[in-house]
Amino acid sequence: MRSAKRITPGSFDDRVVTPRARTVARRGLFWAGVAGVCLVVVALTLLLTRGGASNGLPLDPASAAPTGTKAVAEVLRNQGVDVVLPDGFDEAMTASSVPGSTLAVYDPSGYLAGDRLTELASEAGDVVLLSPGFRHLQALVPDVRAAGPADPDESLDAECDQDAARRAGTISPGPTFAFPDDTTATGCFPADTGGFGLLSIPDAGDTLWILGPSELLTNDAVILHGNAALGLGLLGRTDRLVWYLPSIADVEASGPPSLAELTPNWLVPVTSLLGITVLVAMFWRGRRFGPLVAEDLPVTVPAGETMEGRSRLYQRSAARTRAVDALRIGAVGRLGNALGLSRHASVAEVSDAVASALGRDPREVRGILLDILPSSEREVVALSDALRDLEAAVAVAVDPRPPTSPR
Amino acid sequence: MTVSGRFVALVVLGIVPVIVAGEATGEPGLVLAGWLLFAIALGILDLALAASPRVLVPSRSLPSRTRLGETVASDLYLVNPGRRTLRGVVRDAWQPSAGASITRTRVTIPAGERRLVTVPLTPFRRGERRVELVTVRSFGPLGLWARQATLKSPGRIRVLPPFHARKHLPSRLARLRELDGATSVMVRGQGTEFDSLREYVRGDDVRSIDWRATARRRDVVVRTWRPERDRRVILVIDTARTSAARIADEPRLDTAFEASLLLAALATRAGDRVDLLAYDRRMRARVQGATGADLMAKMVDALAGVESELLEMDWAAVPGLVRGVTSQRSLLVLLTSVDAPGASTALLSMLPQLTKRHMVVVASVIDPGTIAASRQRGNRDEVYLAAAAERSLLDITRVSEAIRQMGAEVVTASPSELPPALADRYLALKAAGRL
Repeated sequence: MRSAKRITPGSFDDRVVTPRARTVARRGLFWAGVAGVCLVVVALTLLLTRGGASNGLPLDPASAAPTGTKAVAEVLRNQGVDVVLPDGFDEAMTASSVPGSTLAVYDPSGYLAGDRLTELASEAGDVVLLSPGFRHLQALVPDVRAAGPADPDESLDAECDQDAARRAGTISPGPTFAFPDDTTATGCFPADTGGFGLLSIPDAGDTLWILGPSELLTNDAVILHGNAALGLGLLGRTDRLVWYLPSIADVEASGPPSLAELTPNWLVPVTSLLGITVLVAMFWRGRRFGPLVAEDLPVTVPAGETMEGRSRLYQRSAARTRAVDALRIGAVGRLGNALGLSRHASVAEVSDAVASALGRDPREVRGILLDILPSSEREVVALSDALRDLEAAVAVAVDPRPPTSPR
Repeated sequence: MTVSGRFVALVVLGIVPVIVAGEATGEPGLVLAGWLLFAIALGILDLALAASPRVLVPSRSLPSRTRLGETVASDLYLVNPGRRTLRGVVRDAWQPSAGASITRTRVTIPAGERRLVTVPLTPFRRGERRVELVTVRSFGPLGLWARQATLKSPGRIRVLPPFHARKHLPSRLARLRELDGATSVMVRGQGTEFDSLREYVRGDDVRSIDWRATARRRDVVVRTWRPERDRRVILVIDTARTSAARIADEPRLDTAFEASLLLAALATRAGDRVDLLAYDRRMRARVQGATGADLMAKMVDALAGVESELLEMDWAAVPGLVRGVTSQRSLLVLLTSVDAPGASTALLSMLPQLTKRHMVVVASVIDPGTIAASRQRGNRDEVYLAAAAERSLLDITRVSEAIRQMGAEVVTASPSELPPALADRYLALKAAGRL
């Protein structure tokens, strides 16, 4: 017999509703497996598609994306050029100060301030500015101005006696730069804009190069025209190349110290600790103390609902006569009772009896009890009041007790 | 598994080392991670040291029944056959309407011992109130983390109707004794039967002198009379949908229970036999052939679990049911609702079959709110409400008239007034000998 079974530690599973941790784990195993498979699939997909994705900075020598310049950098390395990728301005300064270095700067967002570029350029040997912005031109060579982009459908021819340019022959079009005639600069790759794709400006023994169509260095475009020849010729002139891409970290701080510098370093850990505390507290308060208890609720029907519904129905359909009739029938019944008339007495009999008991005009009483048809809400209320007064008056008139002072 | 407030406090306490040691070492993030690991390690240690709540053996000791509104103690014994002392919190998961005033109890059960958890219950609903589960949280010695398990431990308690109307019983019993020969006020007439002869005492009605017996005994002897006895009273409670309506915050059904309990208590003292049927389309409760205290106990027990059903009352079956109880003439009390004429058609069409053989009383609750609304006429809305109230009172009057025309009696009163009103009607019928 089940009820007589001795309870041993082995038999409590049928008494305990909560599953054991093992059971939960076993049940969850399948779904954990499904989740694991999904994760692997997602990871694989990302891994396989990521190679072609165009992320990474443009002209990043470490990026194999179409906008990167890994191809040029790798070929330079193979040719024995030491390609240095400095991380930050200070590293760039140190790297450029090594004699025999070429510095290539590409800063389309203008993170690097003009005076810092001047500082950097004065430290370095040859400098190649890749599509420089206005501020950088102003800082280094104020005479040179941007001449706008060349016609994108026509490649540019060298037309000068610079070695690199001559070897390249033609290059892809891009932004061009112009310079006044009275300077010592040389222009190559003239374009229809009146500017040149490449400028070389001698500067105290070194040379400052300005390459307008710098996109020709990208992995995507380097195979076109003589792009590769120009890129390699320009950047591989020395044994060492410092390829510097300024980032937002190189923006010089100015003005008051930032919020991060003012706050203590434990602020973030403390706020995260508070957040974790909130999570733990939520678990503490939210953990249910056993399953919910079910209970059948009783049917609750408020009895007055039909009456209220009927009253709203009268009101909405303006059933004044019907409403007043109901009041009148009730009043006539009570008046008949009070005056001792039979239950079957007609309205006319009751009305006459009321009139004689009160000494009032029978027509007036009959009007209240039967004849007046209310044509407005105001009259409905007035009739209801009149009926109430009539009942009160009859109650006083038939009261055998001596009249007392009105309450 | 669950955590305690103490664990939350431990986690938040990490602010101190994060700031102090973080300032000192300059690596507050590492300190934070270390503190969290420390807290979790303490929690795991605590959990490992906590006694298993799964091994507990619960057993119950419950009173089988109680009246609605009374408080009883529900005792739950927990035996700990494990090897560790269990420190924890117990939740005895009673249904909400069982009115458990304590839902969490702290317990400490040493290994191999038994402890009692008492929960006072004040049920606020009639019927069977149940408990199925007991949940135990067992904390470790540090009180940080806890193991939680839910154990099966079924129990039930039957909550009987309250019978508030019993306060009316003494006065009605006094009236009953007045009808009886036991008091000097003795009414001779219909509805009484010959009881015994006794000596004349001053004040007795001279008309009741039995001259023949006086002649035999040479002493003045009077006859005494007593009300008729051993009549049958059949109570039929309508448990169909209209009985669910709440009037003055009491369902019609509960008022019907009160009225039938009072009437049954009175009738069984008066020597009548009482039978009870609660019916809609099925028999919901039935009490037959019980008398005295046994009758009351059986009635409250049978009625405890009866609830209103969302069904239409099958009046056509009632004559058959009554025939099944008795073929003798009896007082038939129908506890139902007298409402709109349309809703009462079935009742009215069945009534003649009953009134032919029996004395029928139809008892119905009337809403005091309706009467109050018919008097309240302050503004336009109230006037319309009063008109609607008058109309429903008129409906009740018309249905009552129709019932009276069929030879049955009607008792209508507010919920608090209905039980004594029905008892009074019974006494009046008894006095008039119409049973």
